[in-house]
Amino acid sequence: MTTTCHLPVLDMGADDYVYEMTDYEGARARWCPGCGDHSILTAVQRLLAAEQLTPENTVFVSGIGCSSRFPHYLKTYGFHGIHGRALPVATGVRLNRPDLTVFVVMGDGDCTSIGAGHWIHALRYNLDMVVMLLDNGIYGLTKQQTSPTTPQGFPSNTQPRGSWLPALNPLQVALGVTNASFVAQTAEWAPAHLYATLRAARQHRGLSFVRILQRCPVYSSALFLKAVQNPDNIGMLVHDDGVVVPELARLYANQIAHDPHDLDAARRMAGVTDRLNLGVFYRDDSRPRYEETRRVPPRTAAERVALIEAELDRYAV
Amino acid sequence: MSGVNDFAFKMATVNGTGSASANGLLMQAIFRMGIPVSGKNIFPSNIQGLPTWYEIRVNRDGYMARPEQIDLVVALNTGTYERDVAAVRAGGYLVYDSSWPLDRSLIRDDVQYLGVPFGQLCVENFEGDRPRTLLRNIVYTGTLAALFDIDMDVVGEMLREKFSKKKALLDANFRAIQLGHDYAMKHFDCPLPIRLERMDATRDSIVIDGNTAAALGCVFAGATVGAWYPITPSTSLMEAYRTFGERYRRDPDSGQRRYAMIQAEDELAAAGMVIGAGWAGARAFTSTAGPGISLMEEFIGLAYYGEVPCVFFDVQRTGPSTGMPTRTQQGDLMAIAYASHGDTKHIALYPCSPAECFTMARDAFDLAERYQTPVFVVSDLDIGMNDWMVPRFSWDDAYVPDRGKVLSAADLENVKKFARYTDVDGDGIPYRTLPGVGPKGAYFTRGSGHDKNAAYTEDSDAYLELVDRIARKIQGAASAVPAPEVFRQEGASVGLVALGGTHGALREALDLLRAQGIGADYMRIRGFPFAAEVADFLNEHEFVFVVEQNRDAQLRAMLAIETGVPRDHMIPVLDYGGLPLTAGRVVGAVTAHLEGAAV
Ligand SMILES: Cc1ncc(C[n+]2csc(CCOP(=O)(O)OP(=O)(O)O)c2C)c(N)n1
Ligand SMILES: [Mg+2]
Repeated sequence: MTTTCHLPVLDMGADDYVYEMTDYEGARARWCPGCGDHSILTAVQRLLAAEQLTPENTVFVSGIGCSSRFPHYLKTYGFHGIHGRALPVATGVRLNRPDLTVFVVMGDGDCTSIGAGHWIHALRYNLDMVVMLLDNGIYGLTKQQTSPTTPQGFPSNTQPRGSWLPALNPLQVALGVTNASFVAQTAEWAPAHLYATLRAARQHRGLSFVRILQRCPVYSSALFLKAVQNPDNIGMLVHDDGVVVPELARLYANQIAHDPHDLDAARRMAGVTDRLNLGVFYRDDSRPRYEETRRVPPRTAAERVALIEAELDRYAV
Repeated sequence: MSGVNDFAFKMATVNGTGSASANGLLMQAIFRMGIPVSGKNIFPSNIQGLPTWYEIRVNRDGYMARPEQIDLVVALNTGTYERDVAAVRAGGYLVYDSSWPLDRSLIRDDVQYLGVPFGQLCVENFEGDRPRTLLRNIVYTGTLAALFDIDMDVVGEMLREKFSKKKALLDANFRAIQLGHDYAMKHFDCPLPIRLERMDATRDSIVIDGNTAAALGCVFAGATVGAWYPITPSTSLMEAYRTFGERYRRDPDSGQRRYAMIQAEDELAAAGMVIGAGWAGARAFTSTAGPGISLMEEFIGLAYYGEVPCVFFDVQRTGPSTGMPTRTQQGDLMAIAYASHGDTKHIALYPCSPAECFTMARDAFDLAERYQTPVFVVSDLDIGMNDWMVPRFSWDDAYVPDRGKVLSAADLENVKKFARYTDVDGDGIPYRTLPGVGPKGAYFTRGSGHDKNAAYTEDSDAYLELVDRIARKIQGAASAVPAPEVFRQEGASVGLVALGGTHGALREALDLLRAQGIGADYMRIRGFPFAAEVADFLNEHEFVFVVEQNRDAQLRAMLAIETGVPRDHMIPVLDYGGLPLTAGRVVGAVTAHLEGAAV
């Protein structure tokens, strides 16, 4: 398959150009019919338009997996790298170009297995970017192997009689990392919530980690069935500093007031097993961000010349 | 020329529509009719919705390489119609779904069009979208059975075997086969001139893919620990090992598993686990592809320098980086031969078919333990994932694994002092002990500088003694790896050199060249470090052609480095677009060069 992605050639003379969702559309999405990734792509396009992000100043970095095709389908800058290594690449981009808006897209194998080391450290570096974990609880692209987030007992090609170990909980991991500053969970089948969560993530300063529960119709279709079929199995964490989607209040009766500034409460909410909690679990906008290391007081030209001369003087013999 | 028991056809479909099992059925039916057959699946890195081709070559003389030309295409993917029509040789056939009209632009007057309303037949006869999609594949199988004169009894027998426990499916499949068959019989002149006639040329053969064969080899060789991370095209090796393990490596009384497997968090970890298990006495292995090898490199250096036996299967795919994950290549030859930083060199085996994946799996474990070092079985996607017709496997029940120089408790009694890295026998291979054997045998393994007593050192002489011994040890393996296979012809003027899965194309090319009056010798390299015969062969010929599937002539570079034969003595013939090699490609390159040389 050959796909080329051209940035939209827009009439840049017009400062008042308003980007439409379609301005962000790249190649035709090649995910399977019914794949949850389609709905995430739509939510992201909606977000890009709502925030009026200029395509050429927006970067999507991904790893390898079905989900990591994401940047192909957007008309922004994209970087489809190697399996598990999206975060170091995004870190480099962001360090050099804090003016760019950086998004990272990873699958559950990509982020929580092969990329787990980078994941933990990126959370700690807390660079300002939106990190999306498209979690379908399975390896999609390589055809149905167990991932760290595969529920215990769920059969796959790795363990046909069911995954032996209990699943890793990405929220608990993220909330356990010192200096993590934004941790949220949403679901692809609740588009309004998905969109609102991504918007909150985008507006947060620091690394926003968003786990998006995503159905794979081919290999893990049954995974979130309980929650999809019965909204009572979902808990909506609501708070003015988190996400509130009023129109969902009727469908999702479990509205749980949760203050995202309370780390202990966030960890408790993340550990709940009898329902799926969606919302912003934790945020702290005051956490140090690594890009700030570059921010040094400005110098005048005369000061710079003096410094260089002093440097050269050291080599005078 | 194409004709009875000598033709090629391919099915163009969309992946995720279930055509794979129908194509497998066709290939096996031909095999059961006693006719030599090979199949190549050309598939996308995707779950559903992208183009897939399955090429089947029938050849009474047993040529199994990828066919040069396609006599008949079953075009079921409208997305690739144009390409598929173009792929038919002049005078060939196109089978297409006539439920919809064919665009005029697709009509070639040198192709015969055989329209079958596959879609319509399925809609009329079956319920539900998915069954209709799946059964369409069986309908075209029936059509081809009529066109090629495939024995319907054989097909029926196979369906019965497959669906013996699912009556409803069996009935539907029988209906589907019959629909396709009847339609063709009624509307076309069946069979076509390209058709099948029973033979008796497959009795001593089996059909198997290289990954399954390698896994079987691991089981026979007594491998007990497998650690890996999923990656195409190596995944099925581990899946097959698990299947065999469940069947044959469980204690019949207790049910206890006598093997262990772990899907690691990544390849780096998988390599570490294999090294740990090998160090602790297991026959341990991993299976991966190029990206995995890249990640394993640091650990490979540790195993080399710490002298830990372990086995790596590299099922090569098209690199660099993620490359084309579902296409084949021989692009990792150098990366493996000299993997990891510092001075290293590794034992590598190059199977040419599933049959050698089976035997070389065993060889790899023996060599790894004898030489106490990582050993690589360098396979590729074509060998690993495609079904090949190969001679029936045999196994020597007297086989005893070569565990190498491992000191037992009794042995230790008799030594004054155990020094892990001493060259006692003058072959560069030290003695090792396994944990728990006794206090006298304990030693320290490290990747940092060490001397012959396994003690830390920064002393140049102690360091040199150790690394020079390892170099001698590995070079010594040149005579222990499988020897090259050399085919000579009377009065040959040129030599061909190759390794791995291109063997079929080379053998066929030799015959085609001879038919043109060009006699050629051929050497198939099977192991690294190169045996002495390799240099001899190069030197015996005025010049040789080195045929390989990578861009940079890696094998030729290795031959130059290792044998000192100058590069311009070796003409590169390179084919690296990701598809299996054809004989014509070799013949074309050789004749072009010879003509050029004659001018
Ligand atoms: C180093 C390396 N190892 C393995 C692979 C093979 N591989 C590609 S995608 C993938 C996992 C896909 O699962 P996930 O990250 O959950 O993404 P999904 O396809 O489910 O969206 C693997 C193992 C690779 N490309 N590179
Ligand atoms: Mg996944």
